[in-house]
Amino acid sequence: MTDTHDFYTLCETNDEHMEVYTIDLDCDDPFINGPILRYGFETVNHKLVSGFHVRGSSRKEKINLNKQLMVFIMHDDELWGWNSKELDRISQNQASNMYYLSDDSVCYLDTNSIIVGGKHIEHSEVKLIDCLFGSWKETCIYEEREKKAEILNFGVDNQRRRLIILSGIKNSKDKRDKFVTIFDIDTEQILVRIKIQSREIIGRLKSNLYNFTEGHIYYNNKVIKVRYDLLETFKGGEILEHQLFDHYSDVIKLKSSSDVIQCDTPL
Amino acid sequence: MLSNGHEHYLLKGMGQKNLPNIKDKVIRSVINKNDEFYLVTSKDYDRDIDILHTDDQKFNASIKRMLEPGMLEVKDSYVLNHSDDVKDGNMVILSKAGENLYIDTISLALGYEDDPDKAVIDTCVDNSYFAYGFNWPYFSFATKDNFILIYNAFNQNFI
Repeated sequence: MTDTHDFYTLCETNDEHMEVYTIDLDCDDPFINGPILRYGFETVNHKLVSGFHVRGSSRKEKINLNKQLMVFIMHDDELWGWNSKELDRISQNQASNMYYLSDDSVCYLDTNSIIVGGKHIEHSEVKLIDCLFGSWKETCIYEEREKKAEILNFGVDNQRRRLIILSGIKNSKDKRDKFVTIFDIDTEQILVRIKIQSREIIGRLKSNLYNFTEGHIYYNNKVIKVRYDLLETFKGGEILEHQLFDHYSDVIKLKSSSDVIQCDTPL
Repeated sequence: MLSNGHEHYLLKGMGQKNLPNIKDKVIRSVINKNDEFYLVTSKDYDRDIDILHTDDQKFNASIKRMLEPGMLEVKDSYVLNHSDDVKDGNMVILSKAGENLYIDTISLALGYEDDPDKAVIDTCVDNSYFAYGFNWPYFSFATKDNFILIYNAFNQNFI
């Protein structure tokens, strides 16, 4: 669903192809149009779809800025992009975690293996893809400064344009010390970086089973509030884990103990 | 094989064997084949399910799956060998994670390779809905019967 009120769907066909269809939802009598894009399974090395994002064309805008339709598809660990002309592989290493930032931009994690001090390290960069008029621009917006640090997972607050990053550095006991970093995409600044002990926060960020928006991490029937307000008050001063995260449980009163709240579902 | 999930003991003859390769993972299921065991393990929060072998620490298969506490239930499993060679055959695991039902097929031979992810040769997912899209006031999802439903929050006649 694009901001231009166009619906796009990606389908697998019986003859081993992927096809993209569209419906103009502003139309008085909406109909299915397409396929506007078709490619074979072998093109993407028979890898399954794990993400899909479309930047709608500006053809319906009052002033047409000639923004081309663009499609981004994650096939397992490969990110592919189509600019209305050619389908190209964007990621050169292992891609994962494609996140919607706005209609014009998406983030993903690009990981490759390096050797640091004789040890195998998964080095990752958070990359931002910005859609231009007829092409896209890819930039690295975040990577760990310390060579030994590994990004374990990350989330995007697309309302406030901030990243929450869980990273780990192996200590002398060969166990990972975990750190949470909050990074502002627009100012390109680290707002806070703290060592974290909470099993629940580490597990939640590691598993990615949450929705992160407006500084709130939503999961099940609980919310963790990230105190953005304190970050502005402290301005570089030391902030502790229990100060940065406020935990709220039983947010919605459920009729029965067997009732559940589930994120990312229309049900 | 005795386990309450967190503590594990393998009794072999008159001896008791330790299972160091489980580390801090929890055993979700034990799959018996002849006189050996495959262990389905994961942490409470995890990004994958690890399949280990009680007698052979070289065996490791890894199923990519995001997990939170109480989410994973292993419903059924079996090992199908084509010959007496333990490495020849497949393991099939039926599990439920959240509201998804999974059937994972694991090649026993590929479980001895360097990359444990490659041992998973097939995954079949069943769910009441699939792809989900949202952009206010529209939202949509696809059903398992290949219908796509599109709703407009301001127009009850729009589907």
